[in-house]
Amino acid sequence: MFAAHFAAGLAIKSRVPKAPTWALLVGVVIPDFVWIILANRGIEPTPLRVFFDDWSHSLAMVVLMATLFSLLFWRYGRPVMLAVWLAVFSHFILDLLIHPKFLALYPHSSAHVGVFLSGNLGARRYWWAQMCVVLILTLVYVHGARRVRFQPNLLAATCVLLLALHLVMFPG
Amino acid sequence: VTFKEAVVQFLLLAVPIVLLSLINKFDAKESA
Repeated sequence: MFAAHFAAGLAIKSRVPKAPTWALLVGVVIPDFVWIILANRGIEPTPLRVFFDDWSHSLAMVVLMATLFSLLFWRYGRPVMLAVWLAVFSHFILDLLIHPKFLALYPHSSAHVGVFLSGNLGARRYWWAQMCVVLILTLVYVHGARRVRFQPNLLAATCVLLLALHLVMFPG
Repeated sequence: VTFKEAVVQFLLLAVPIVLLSLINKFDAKESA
């Protein structure tokens, strides 16, 4: 998932406007930031045959990241901390739906959870499945942002940007 | 993942964060 993570962050933002947008948007992709570092170091190999992302994407590690990152926002109060926690945790929820490999419960766990493997779906179907998730989360965002009377032009710009982010990932 | 690929992946995440954060600056004060 790519644009869907950002859409999830914005959907949360629209429900908890006091939460800093940057914190939610960084939060939703923290596991990917960690993955970039670990993949570059060779700790999480990327070829599908040996694909491994337990340190950056397992349930326990995402919960740990969510908790540590949300603690940075204790001054903002409990609702904002919870929103930031949920933003990070949303990464696990979305990747649970479709991912190159089912997600581990903790690093090197033998138990894995997931719904679809992206490799089994095929690139196009994977893209369309993600599109559905992006659209649903964008609708949640639009509904919430309209409720707090966010400027319509900026709301539209956000929707266009989210869709553009997903369109650039179109396979082929 | 080579260093160059890592930088590209990092930018793919960082650029949308910056753009979407700049656009979405609304807070509770905008609520009715």
